[in-house]
Amino acid sequence: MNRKLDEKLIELAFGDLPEEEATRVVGEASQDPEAARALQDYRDMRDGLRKLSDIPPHQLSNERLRAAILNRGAAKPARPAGISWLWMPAAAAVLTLGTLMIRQMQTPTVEPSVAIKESTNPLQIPDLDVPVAGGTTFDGATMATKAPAPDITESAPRVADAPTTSSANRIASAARRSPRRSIETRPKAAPKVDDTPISADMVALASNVGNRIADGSGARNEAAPAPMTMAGATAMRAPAPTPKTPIIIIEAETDALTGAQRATEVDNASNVLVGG
Amino acid sequence: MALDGILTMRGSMVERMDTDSDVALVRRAREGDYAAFEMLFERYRTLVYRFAYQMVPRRDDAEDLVQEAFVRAYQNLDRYRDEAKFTTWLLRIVTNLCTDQARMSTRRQALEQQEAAGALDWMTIGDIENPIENLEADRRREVLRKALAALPVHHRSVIVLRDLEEREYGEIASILGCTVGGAKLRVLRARRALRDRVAPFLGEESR
Repeated sequence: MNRKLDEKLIELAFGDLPEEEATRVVGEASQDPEAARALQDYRDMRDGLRKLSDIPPHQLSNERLRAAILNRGAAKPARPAGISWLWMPAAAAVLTLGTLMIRQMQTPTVEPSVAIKESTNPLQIPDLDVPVAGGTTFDGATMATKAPAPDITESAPRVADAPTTSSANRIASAARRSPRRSIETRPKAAPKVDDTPISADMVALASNVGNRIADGSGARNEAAPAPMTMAGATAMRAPAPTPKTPIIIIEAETDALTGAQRATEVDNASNVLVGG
Repeated sequence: MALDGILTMRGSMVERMDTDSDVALVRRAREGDYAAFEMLFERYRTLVYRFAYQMVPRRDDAEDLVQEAFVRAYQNLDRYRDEAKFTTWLLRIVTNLCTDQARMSTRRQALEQQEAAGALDWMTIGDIENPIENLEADRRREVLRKALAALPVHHRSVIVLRDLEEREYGEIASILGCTVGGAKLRVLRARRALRDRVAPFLGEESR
């Protein structure tokens, strides 16, 4: 008996053949004793399997299942996949916030004040080597007649604001653009040169402006060195820094190695005058 | 047919959800409603037990198998896909457990096969002058049961699913993870293997 016929006999015995094909296979098996015997064996096996229904009752209980689940440590059902991803954006937000806070704590709270080279006499208007028309030099006692006043960049000393590296760089780079100047802080528009000699009132006014800035009153750049409109040697006291205000002094001389102007940091501005 | 259900509107379609359907119970179980999972357990434990008992014809073993299947189902509820029937998924878990058991206890299986073979010895060693006594229905059934137990797991599972539990070929294919044609072929081969074991003894009775 071939394998294909054997498969048909199995399907016939278990009722898996269509009626027409079943009739054909029955006829074929009746003519082959071996096929007939196989068909009978399969039918007996089918009947015997159907009688295998005497299964003893089970003793499965809810309590037993619950205990098994708890013992396995599967106290909670598995959460849908979507919820398990929520921790990622939350972790990212916490990480970002922490990074920002750390960066804020590391950077100083105030921009360094840019000042001219330290002088022993705080009242003495410093000697600025500012080129002026006619070859005269600015001796500090008078204001430069034609020399443009120092520029105030957007990072003008604002005591209340935290200085940033970029602002310090702007100050330094501004200083480099004008190698003869120690200060490079003023609005972009070049102020008109005023050749009025410095008076005590002007000094007081400049001090008040500086103090306003130091108070953190939120004075904007426009309020800061208004003395810049009076070009040159306005003796303005540097804004009284907070106890921990770092002050960077950019010197007029350049470094022999790098070509950049030297800068030094001082703890307080008691002996520092700011002018231009 | 009135159903205890909730009417929900989705666009122009009206969808009716039976709160006690398998899908609804699984959804509630996923959200932490253990009582919903218990309902599923009570609903299908007998069906799963019947299948398990046919696979491991000892009551204690069958109960352990059922319990393990439901524990794993609970642990992996998120893997259940609504497209398949819950019973299909459960029976697949039981089948896989039986396969794992069989792999771990090949020696035990060999012993079972020896036992099954030995259980058939009375057919030839017994009193041949009274062959009719040897053909009692309960002994015949016992022979068949032993032969079924001695089959390899992959043959035994399809015989149980198709010929004892009378599952459709489509469902068997889903449980086994194969095509319908593949399921039919597996059933065919399993029946042939079972017949090869019992035919020498059952055939003697009819000749």
